[in-house]
Amino acid sequence: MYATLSYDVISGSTPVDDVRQLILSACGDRQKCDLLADTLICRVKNTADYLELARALRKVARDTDGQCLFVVTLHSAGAPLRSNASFQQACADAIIGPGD
Amino acid sequence: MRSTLCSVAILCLCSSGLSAQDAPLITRSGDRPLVSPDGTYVFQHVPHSDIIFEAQIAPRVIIVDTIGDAALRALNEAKAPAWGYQVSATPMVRLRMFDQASNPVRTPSYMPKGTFQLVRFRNASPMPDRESDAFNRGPIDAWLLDAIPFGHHSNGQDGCLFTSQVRGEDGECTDSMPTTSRQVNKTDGSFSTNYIEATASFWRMYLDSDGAAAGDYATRWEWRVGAGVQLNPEGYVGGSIDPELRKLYGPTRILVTAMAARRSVWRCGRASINSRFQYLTTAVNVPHLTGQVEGACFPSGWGGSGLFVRYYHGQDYYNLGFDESISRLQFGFTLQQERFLSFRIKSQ
Repeated sequence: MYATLSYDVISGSTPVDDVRQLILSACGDRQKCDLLADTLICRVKNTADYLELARALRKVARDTDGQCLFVVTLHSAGAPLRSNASFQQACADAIIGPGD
Repeated sequence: MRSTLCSVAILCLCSSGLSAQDAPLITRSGDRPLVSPDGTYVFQHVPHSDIIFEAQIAPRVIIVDTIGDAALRALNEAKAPAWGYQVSATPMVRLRMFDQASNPVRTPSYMPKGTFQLVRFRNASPMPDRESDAFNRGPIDAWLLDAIPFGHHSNGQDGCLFTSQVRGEDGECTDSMPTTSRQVNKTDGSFSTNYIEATASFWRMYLDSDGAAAGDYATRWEWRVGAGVQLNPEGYVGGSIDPELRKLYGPTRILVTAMAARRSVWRCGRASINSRFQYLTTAVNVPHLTGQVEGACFPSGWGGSGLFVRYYHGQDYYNLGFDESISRLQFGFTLQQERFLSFRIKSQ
């Protein structure tokens, strides 16, 4: 299964680039693929792993005093990714994986 | 034939894939679950009597269900109970093929029934944070009421129950000669009863997310214990038990059941052990206590089918066998419809 993460960074006491790096580091060593600016997908092992990712992102939001807004959504393995923009298909397919 | 059956079973189990795919053995949250169905079996008995094989065919048909919806609500943040119910029907048949001339399938048991189940789920996790892994692991504690308001058991025959009886012009069976001991007519004697049964069980499920669908935590292992009663009253709709049979059958039975099952044990996508004991408050020629213990393995990749072995002791359950006691080791193939339940995490 995989998660889609869309985030928005607000300027504040922490530099915007640093906040963006904290968001990407919250994804850890999970396989990732950038779709668009501020949107990426990453592989998760299971629902518990997804909850761990969400917890890490909430920590980033707290640590940066709300400079980070995000939505992370869980999808079944193989669930199609629908987008109105072009993105790296091979990179995304490697994460989306085959269906159940 | 029995040694061949054993060899084939062992060969199949050893060669089954090491796939971790448990999907056929897990009910996704929101789907209609089958809780404690009867199961379909094809098997052999030892010690061998005159039975070539026995089969039970028992598909459960769900009519109305809200248990699936309750599984979507059970992991709520307030840990409030989630209630659900299900109404279903099972057109069950049991048959034995006998090792006699022309290998007859004699006097099958026709056992259709309607079932009502009521379940109360509650998350018993000590953790408060609904978005933590520990919160969603539960365990889920459940109370299950399993009621059969109408069950029928007959053998479709029209002969008199005892060999010493003849059917008169009025259709009633009467003794044709004075007898001190009667023999049950095993060839075409008529057997029929309608029963009511209810069991209350406590059920605990331990969850994790490995192998579960996205957004779900699925049962990793579970256990359930219950007690109940079965009644076979006279005059309970057409086809109810007649007074002569009722004296011999043991119409009131106290039930005790227990089950434990675990996901992904060795090559078994589901490994389970089930037991059912009945105490007959009146028993003639058979023990008061009957019981069975069954172990089963459902390998991953077998689509929900598996192998089982069962020990049964007590009153023969096969319609006209009610006046005999049997002790049998039974083994063979089974198609169990029961799956591990999944519960949906509470999303933001």
